[in-house]
Amino acid sequence: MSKQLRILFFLVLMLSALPGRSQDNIFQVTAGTIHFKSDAPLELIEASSNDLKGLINFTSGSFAFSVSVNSFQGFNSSLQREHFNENYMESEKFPKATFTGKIIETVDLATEGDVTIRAKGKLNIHGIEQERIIRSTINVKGNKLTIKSTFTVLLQEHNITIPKVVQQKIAEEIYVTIDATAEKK
Amino acid sequence: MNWFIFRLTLLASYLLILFESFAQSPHFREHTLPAEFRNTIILKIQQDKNGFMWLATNNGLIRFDGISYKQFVQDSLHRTPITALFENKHGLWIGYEDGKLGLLKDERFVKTSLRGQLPSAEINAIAEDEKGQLWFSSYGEGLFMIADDSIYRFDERHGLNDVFAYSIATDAKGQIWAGTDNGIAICSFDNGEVKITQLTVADGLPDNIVTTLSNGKQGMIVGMESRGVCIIDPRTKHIEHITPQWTFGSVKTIAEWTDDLWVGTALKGIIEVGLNNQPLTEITIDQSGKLSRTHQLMIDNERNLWVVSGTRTLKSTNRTFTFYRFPSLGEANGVQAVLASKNGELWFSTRSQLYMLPVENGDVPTPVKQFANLNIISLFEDESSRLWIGTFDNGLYCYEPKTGRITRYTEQNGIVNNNILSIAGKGSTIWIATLGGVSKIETGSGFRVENFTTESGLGSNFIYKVFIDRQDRVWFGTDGRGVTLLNDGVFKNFSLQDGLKSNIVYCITEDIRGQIWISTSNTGIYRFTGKGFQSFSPHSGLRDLNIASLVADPKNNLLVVSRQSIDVLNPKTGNIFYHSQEMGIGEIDPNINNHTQDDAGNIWLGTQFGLIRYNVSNTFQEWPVTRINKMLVYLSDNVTDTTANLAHDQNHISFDYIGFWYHDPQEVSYRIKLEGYDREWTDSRNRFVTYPSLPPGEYTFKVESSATSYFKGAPTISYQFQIHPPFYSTPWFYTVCVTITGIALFVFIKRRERNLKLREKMEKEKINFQFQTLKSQVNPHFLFNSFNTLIAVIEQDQETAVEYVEKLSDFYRNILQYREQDVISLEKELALIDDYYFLQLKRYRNNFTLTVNIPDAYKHAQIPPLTLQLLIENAVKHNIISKEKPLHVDVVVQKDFIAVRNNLQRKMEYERSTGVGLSNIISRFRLLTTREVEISETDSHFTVMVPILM
Repeated sequence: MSKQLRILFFLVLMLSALPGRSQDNIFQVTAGTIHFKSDAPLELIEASSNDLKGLINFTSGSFAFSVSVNSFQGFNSSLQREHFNENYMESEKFPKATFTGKIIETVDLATEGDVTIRAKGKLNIHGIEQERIIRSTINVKGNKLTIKSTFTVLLQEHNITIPKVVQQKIAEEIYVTIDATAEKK
Repeated sequence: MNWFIFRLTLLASYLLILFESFAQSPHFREHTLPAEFRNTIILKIQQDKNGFMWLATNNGLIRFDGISYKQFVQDSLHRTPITALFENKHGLWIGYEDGKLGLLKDERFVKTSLRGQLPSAEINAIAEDEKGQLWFSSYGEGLFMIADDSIYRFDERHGLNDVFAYSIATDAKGQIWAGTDNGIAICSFDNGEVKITQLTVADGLPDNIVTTLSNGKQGMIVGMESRGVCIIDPRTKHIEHITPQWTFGSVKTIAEWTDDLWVGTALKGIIEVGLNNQPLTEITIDQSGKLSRTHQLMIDNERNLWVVSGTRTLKSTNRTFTFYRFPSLGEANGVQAVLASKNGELWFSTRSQLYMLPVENGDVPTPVKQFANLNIISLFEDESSRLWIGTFDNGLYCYEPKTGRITRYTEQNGIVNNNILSIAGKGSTIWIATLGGVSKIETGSGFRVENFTTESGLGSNFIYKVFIDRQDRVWFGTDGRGVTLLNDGVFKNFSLQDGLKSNIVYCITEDIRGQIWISTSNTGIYRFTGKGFQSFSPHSGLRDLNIASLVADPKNNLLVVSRQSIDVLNPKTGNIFYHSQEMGIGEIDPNINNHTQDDAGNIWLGTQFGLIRYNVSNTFQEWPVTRINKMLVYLSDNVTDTTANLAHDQNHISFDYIGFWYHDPQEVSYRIKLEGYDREWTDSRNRFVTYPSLPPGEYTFKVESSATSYFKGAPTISYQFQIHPPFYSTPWFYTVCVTITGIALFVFIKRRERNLKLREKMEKEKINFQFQTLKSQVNPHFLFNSFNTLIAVIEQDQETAVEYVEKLSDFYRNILQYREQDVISLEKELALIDDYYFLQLKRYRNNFTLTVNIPDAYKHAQIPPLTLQLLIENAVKHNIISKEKPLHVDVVVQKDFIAVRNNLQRKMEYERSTGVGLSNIISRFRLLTTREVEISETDSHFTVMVPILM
């Protein structure tokens, strides 16, 4: 288990193990989908996972999200999925993709409706951390939040190398969509 | 159906816009790290005060001078990427990714002795406040500051907005601004206390993530994560958001260029942001249109802009030319005529269509549908903003863009010809140059045409160019008949006899001083002298004598446009700057006189590949910045700048020099001269020169650099040094030598003089002595006495008599023989006195005894001849010799002397004394030795001691 993962685990534990501090507005993802799309000239690849986990503490502005890499389903063939896990993502070695950090904007949970926030933190994919600012829309409805986010991942930035021949089939830039609901703990 | 067409048109225009957004671009020159830096990527760039570019990489520092790369690696931090660079008086500060801080001074890494904790996270920016205190931001750990070698750290506890700091900059007042995740922190440090003022969204900042800060002319330029750029007045803190419509994502870096900002973004390339509310323009940096991440944009001292994009390649560009390509126009991209209108629109024609580039979106040309399928070759805008459009075969059109009204004039309306090559005008008068003469059109009230042909005095009816100068003279460039000038209603022709080498005249222009310039087919440029034309050649020549356009710009340069180049000629100095392939100018192959000038003075050229704008506001540096980097002795650079005094054997001198010209580094040539050694300047393309074995002397090394191979007026950089002569050829050494020689000579002469005098004296003494001796020996007494003795002996003993005579004869012979000599051996002297004693013995019998007791060891000692003989003779002469009083003379050695001693029994009356005998002996010995002859007399004895000369 990598260092980052341990920190994440610790963070998640910390966040969930603080029931006493009821003034903390901690939300936990109850249902989350993460979807990606590689739109290469010769092939469109899509896959998604329902394994998205996450915690947001609106009082401190911190958050942590995680998804296990081998939970992605879809692809155009099972062979492709195997390649995804074994050759590109090396999911044995780097089982989780994570995003932890802080929210730049302050969210007023008392007001219902949509709010756009920027989540800033470390995106860890394939064991490589990148500092990212990811824009998300949060819909507040009582104690329930709907979080929607779209961002891109450059494979090169996460040290995922694609042989030249395959470049026409796998895009350099992957589009990621997140759709999650979270409830107050 | 109509709906479908509408949607199709919408889609098409959308696609067009997408496509066209890549249209405008300057030419980027690429500088790729050489092969030895294979795994190196450039992260930051900084130009130092000397002109060198310092590249921060993942693999140490690299110094770049336009041509060569030199790596500087701090041993302990070999593989740590460098993330920040800053130069101040201490040197070049280097911030590393792991929070370390380095300092490079004079090409060496300096050890800094800082107290306190450096960050462990990346140093992303360094700046200096008004007190010279160094500040740096660290990502996630707040701000750091160094004062008096102590490191201070500031975070939220000190009032810092957020510990995630991206950027740091110094404002005009010397305060430190830091951009964080939660707005701007304005910091100062006084009397050991930090003061932080926050500037956040609450104060009107458009975005609280501030990614870049840089101090600009109008205030602090602030780049943000999602809202583009704003400018903050550091005094009033007034915030002006200059990009309200920002859609290009996070700002990474900003460079303030002439009157615009170039904004590098994280994902959307470079955006040009005008400071005067101009539209945002995307700059095409990579023709492939690939995503480009910009790490840093920097403007250098020459006003070139550098792009660092985290790769092995640096890109640089300058403002000389901007290229407008219109791929959507396809094959018909070639521009035949171009016109910048007074209200900022740009009109241009291809072979079959007129286009307009509107003011608002300068990148999308709109076809002017009224002028489709028309071969337009000339464009002109008159004072009433009407467009005059000249065609091939189809006459002249007058177009009023506001009303859309078009009037067409052809030969039927009275113009001289339907092929209109050039249009000029002033006030309400329009001139057109055609393939059949010229027409003067008065447009003020109605339309009045006056035609001129060869019959009116025009050189030829085939006219390429009509030009009206500021004195309202009208000039015509003809095909085959030179230049025709219309002045006060009179035509005058200038051709071969007036200085032209070709009669085919394409271009006519007037510079800001009112000088008329023309160019002809294949014979270059001419200047109008008032009477005729004079050929004008730049110092380094024209690259192409076939000039398509010759245009004077507002800075008094002439733009010389030909098939493959756009050269800038300074007619005052004769310097010409060539611009071709290396500046992005390809086979542009423009039509003749295919140019226009906009309100700002920029010159637009129509080419085979769209338009090229020559930016007049670009400050044109005339000379490279020359610098002598190093003087080396025996190729070692241990000699610092201050030691220009060299010993005689430090005479293998090299100079390392450079002319910084990032604009076009390969074009730089040098000329050098070592004053005191070289008589003439030497032209060179090398940046290094060696002078082996220079003789001692004073030298001045001079170097000039030029980008045009022409040096007149070039600034000279010089370095003075001297090689001292060796000690044996210094003046003082000469003086000492001469003095010593002089003294030696003087002493020698003096001594010789003395010796000569001595010798002379001795000679005199000797002669005197010889004379005295001779005189004494031929003294009649001695002779008579000897003869009397002889008579007595003959009677008694004949045998003895013979012996006596023999001895006497021996005695005289010896006297004669020795008298010439200075000294003789003691042995010979003893033999002489032996003879003498024999002779005297016969006379005085036993009354006279001579005892000689000289050990054999002294036999070879020297003695002036007849010394002892004389002393014995003196004794014989001055003393009574009788039976009662016999005389005893002893000759013995006493210490170093020979003593001649006799018992004293003076005669009452002296035998007549020569008087000089003894004193002569004394003075002769004085010449030979320092020891004196000693004479002592007691009651009983008289002793003379003469020194033994060994």
